[in-house]
Amino acid sequence: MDMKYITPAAFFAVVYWIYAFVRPEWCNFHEQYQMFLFGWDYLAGHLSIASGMADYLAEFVVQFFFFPALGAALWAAMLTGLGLLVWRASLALSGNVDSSGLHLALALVPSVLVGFYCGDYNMMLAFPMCLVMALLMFLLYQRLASRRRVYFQIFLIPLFYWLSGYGVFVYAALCAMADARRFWRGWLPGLALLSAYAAFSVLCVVMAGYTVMRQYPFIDLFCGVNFYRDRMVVPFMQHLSAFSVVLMPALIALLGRGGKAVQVVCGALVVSAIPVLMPFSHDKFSYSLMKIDYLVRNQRWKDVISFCQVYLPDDSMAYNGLNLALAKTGQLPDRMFEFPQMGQEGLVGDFQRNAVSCVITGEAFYHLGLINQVLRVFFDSQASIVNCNRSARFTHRIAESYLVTGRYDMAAKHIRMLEKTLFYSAWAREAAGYLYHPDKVASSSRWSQIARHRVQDNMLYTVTDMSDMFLRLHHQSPDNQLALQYAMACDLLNGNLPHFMRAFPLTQPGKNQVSQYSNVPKSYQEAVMYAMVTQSGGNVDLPPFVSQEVRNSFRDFDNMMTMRQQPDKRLFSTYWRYIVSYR
Amino acid sequence: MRTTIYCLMLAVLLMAASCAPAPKNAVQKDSLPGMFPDYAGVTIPADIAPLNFEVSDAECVYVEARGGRQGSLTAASGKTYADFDIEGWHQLTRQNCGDSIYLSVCALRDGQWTQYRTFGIFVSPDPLPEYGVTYRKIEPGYETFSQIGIFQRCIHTFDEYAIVAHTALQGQCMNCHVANRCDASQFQLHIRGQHPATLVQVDGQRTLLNTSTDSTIANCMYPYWHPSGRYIAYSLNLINQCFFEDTTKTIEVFDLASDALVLDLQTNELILSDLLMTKDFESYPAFSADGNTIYFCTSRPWMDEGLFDSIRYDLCSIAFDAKNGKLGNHVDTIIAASKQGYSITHPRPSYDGKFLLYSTSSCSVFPIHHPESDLWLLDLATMESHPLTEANSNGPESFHNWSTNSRWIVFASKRHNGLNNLLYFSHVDSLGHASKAFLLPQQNPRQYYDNLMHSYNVPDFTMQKVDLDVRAFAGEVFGDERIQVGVRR
Repeated sequence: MDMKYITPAAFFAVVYWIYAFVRPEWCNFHEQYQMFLFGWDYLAGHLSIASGMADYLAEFVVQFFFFPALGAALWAAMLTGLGLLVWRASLALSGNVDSSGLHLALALVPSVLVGFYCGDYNMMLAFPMCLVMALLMFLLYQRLASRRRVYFQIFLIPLFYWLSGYGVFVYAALCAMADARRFWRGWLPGLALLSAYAAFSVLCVVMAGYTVMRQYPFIDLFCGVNFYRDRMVVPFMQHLSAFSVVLMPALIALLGRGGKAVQVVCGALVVSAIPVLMPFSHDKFSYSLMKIDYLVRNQRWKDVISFCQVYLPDDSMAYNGLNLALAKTGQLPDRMFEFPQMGQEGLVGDFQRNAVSCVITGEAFYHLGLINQVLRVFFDSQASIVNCNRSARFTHRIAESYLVTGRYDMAAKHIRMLEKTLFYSAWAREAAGYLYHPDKVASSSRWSQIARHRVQDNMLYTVTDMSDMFLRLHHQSPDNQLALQYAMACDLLNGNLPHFMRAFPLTQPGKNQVSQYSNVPKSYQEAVMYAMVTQSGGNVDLPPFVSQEVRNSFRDFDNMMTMRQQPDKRLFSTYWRYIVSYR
Repeated sequence: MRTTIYCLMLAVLLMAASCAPAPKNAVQKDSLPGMFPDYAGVTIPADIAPLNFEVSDAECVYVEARGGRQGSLTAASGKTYADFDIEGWHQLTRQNCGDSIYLSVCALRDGQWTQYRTFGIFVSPDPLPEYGVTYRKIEPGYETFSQIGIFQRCIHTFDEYAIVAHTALQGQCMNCHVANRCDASQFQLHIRGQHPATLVQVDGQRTLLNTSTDSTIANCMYPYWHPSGRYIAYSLNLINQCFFEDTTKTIEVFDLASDALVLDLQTNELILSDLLMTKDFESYPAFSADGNTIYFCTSRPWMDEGLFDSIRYDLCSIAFDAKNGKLGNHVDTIIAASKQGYSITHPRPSYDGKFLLYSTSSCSVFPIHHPESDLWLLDLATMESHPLTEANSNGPESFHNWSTNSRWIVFASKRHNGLNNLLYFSHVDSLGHASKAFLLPQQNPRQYYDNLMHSYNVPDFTMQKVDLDVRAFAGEVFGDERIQVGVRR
């Protein structure tokens, strides 16, 4: 291998490592807010919009992010490919074939900028895709040798604007530089050509805006539809990255080979830039939430708990994930107060009008058997995706909800859509076999439990009586232990100890006397003790299941409270610490 | 290479031949074909878009449409659905006004043609001269929306155009595009979200109003134009909703408070009356055809009873003096539905003054979530009501409106799948009898409706194509410059 390719190879490896192992949630996040459909209608829908082709190709790539390892490879290939195309563009501009590692390292600068920019999880891959398209189009254009190729721009610029949107400006600038250098040497003709191409590109945008794209604001038409998730915003980094794609080929074309040391230093800087800049581009709080969501989605409950032990963002979404993971592993009653907790909202979050916050709540509803709420959460989350994309993940859950509740026509509608995807189609084909067969659903390994757990009669969903709602689920299906854990946790988190004490015997099925109670989880012991002591005002005959350790711990806690001291670390993970701070 | 091309050509020919359009040796079957949409026995206006339909499980469909008077047309394109030529269809409907078109359907399955019993479609002598219909498209959801938009569809073809799409007003909710008696030159439209406004466009002049005042409980909501074009009656609703964990019912929409009033567009003032701003809930006001009466629905505060299933609205009226812009001094109860155990909403008087069309449901102010909700017609001469049995279904029907000649109605119904509201049309004769409703025609109806994720909301006829400068309008919406309405009593 030519040594100059070491830099791009190392760059690829580093990017792959980051997104496959350090930030797989980035891939997951992008994948779950889109649904690429194979079929003419979907393509035609994109082709009917300016810049739709860039968006279509980006969505095609992003669907592979379903597997973060594959997604990371594609993303690394895309960024490295962008750099190689910049390098090829520089060769086309200079006509110089004697390039070095320095040139390749500098050619990767736009990739570094895009890599930095992509830490903003709202950056859509349509943007780097339009840069790749612009460079490819430019290199194709370069294959036309005649001076008369300039006239082709009358067709090429509008066509390319329609395909790539914003990319047309990069393409036009590169073409202007190449044409000026090749046919009209001198800065004045170059400037004139650049102005002409730019003006013509702007004219194309304006004409589209007043004809076929009247329903789109000019910000979309100039800067690309779906190049940023919130389409009313165009970050500076988009312009900077695009500018670098124009600037770097021109700069490289002017540079010599550079010494060996310069090549090595530049290569090392470029390769290390993305990991070094990551803390500045990848916001820790948001990425932690994304990570928890990713782990919950994949039902990696133990990983959720270990992750939250290291860093637990102060957000209901994170707590929803943590508490669900604890409950799914049967640890909620024992370990929930090892974490700070944030009230009932940390168990089941209130609905918020965004596409992110309630997804884990929806997953909790799914596992609890509150199927109509699953439908509501995933439907509203999907409707809250700011760029109006559909989500394959959400559609999957919506289809399941319709299927389990016997609304087959609606289930079929969503299943048909998923059948046109790549990674959900196998599931969809299997699910299609269950349509209109309630008995089959009830006996399926996948849905029998949910079908059994779901509410069979009228029940109003209410956040004010959530504990009763969970108890009702448990009462209806006594094997729904998750609902029981949630009901008890809800009372504990709300400090509703009378209700907790009434429901507490349910956790000891088949035992009629308190003396028979065994294996009582730690937080339940603590709550029982707290309730009895605070009710009686001190001397009370505690039930035998309250361990000596809990009794001692409470005594220490009580002493510290009496002396108005802060509870020490040992007492952090007790119910008392929570309830005192909660109140 | 050449061999490959010949092979491909042969394959294409064979594929075409395998679904030859002309049926041979068809087996006769004395039943109607399983069609989607079911157009058998419907009444249509001349010049409506072709009633294309799919025959279930057919590999190929051959349909011969023969006019009762004259003319014929064949749909034999080798598709799985009858795909009529638009011009030919229009001509056939015009030639057979007041008579039926008889459709003979043959379907190919497993190489065998089956010919079904011929059925008729009656072409009413009553025209439907409107250009098309306007409606809002929104996914049938809960609290949020994404791909929302106000659209218009030409009913003579399959062309649909966005009046305002979500892309133009990102993040904003839009609802209630309502024209004055189907006149596209006078319409109003609400924008909700971070940049709320009520757009009133008259003869191309746009006015963006802020209808929230200290004297009223909310922004103006459900509108109805006065025939003069000077006034719009509104209800003001504090809307809420709750969710059920149940298979039959998932959502209930209700008001926490509501009033009614009239907006004077000449002075930009809200005309208030204590009779329409009581502790009871007043909603869905609508002017009579002559503009001298406002019909509206009213209910006692349901919270007094404590249950959603006690929400029941009566149909009432109050006089309106258009000359002086004054509301009457007493309210008449037209139908005391609550006493009879049901609820009336969405009163819509016919423009000829003969009828009043309304929704009934066992309870609720939002019948579209109630499968039992049906359309009823009140004869304003005899004050007797009857259900539009032919037009109704087991699903909910609501959000109805009249054509300008008061012979056609358009309404939304969830009868198709229980979730998506689709548009249906029905003919209402001079005695108030409705015909079997037909679904809004589409080029390939199965494909279209199977893929459709949206609901059609608040449909209305429109005489002409609606013309809104959406780019300028979007600029004004985000510009936040509004005319503040005043109040007078």
